[in-house]
Amino acid sequence: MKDRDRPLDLDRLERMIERLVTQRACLDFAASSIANVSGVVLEVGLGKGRTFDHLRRLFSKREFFAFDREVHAPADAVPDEQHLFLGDFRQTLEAAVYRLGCSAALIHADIGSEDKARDRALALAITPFIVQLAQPGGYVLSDRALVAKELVPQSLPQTVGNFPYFIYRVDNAPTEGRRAE
Amino acid sequence: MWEWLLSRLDSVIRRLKAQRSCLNAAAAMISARQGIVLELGLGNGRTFDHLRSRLPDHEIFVFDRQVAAHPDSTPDADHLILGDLKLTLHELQLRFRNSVVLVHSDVGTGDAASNAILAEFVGAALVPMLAPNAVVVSDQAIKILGAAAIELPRDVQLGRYFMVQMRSEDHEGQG
Repeated sequence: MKDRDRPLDLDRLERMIERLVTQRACLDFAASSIANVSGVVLEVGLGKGRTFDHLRRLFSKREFFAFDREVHAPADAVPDEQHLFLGDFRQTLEAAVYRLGCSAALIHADIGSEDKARDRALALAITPFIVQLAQPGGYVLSDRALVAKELVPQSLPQTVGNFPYFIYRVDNAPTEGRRAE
Repeated sequence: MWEWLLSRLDSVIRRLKAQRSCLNAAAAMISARQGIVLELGLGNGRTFDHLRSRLPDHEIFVFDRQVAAHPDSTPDADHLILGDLKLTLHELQLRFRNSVVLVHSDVGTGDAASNAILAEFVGAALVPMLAPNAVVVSDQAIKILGAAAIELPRDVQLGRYFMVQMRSEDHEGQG
């Protein structure tokens, strides 16, 4: 029998459980952290709509916008057209900067794939838009590291599973290239 | 009660944890026994990956309509039986006669009525293949002639997942 305690030995069922438990812990943590920050919530990478559904239960009073290449989520976990940006994240997030400006109290970027190089390039490309969309005092959660001086890494809640996740607090008001309407 | 408060994220976590607990319990029950393992419904291959890591010495055959799994969680062609379960299970009844020690049946879709019908079919089709004491883990309530429900792991709520075990040979009466 293999040593089941080594994280690298996790099988796909176990990894999925760890990932979802981690996501939930981070979302729940963010919910309490942004209680005093007004603003919208952005779900970047709607996927199957699981975390979107979780977020909208946590923040029943807030306006949500979701982003994805195409819709894979069940109909009841998809926002209406006014709140859905479909297409390449680089383009849709840039469009959101124009349309929404610096408006988000929480951005959840669930963008990872199995292609680490592709993910790094994507993270690099969208980070400036994320920074422009996020309100000071707001939070950004991501399954991939995002690097910007405005994004201050936070420690993860203790309830996370054995899966890497990233929490950032948005510390400075972004100034450059901001185009709030 | 406040079930409706559960998000899709909460329910999928609960479902996957129940699967893992039941599969672990079943794997522990049969790991010392020779025989084959059947996975009905490969899906994306997660539970197949879990079963093979738990039961590295057992041969696992997987049934599905088509392959939608990760390439690295797809069994080789000799262990992959593609097609309508209603045909494939019948076709293999002779080959797997009395030799299956564990079945994981994960064939449910969104529709409760068709799930119940399929589970009934699966329950009947499995009977000739199951060895004495074989364990069947199912996402649907399943009735198998000669098998009795066994206690679920403590962290799995009643009705969330299902486990039955064939009676041992001694209780069968006559041959």
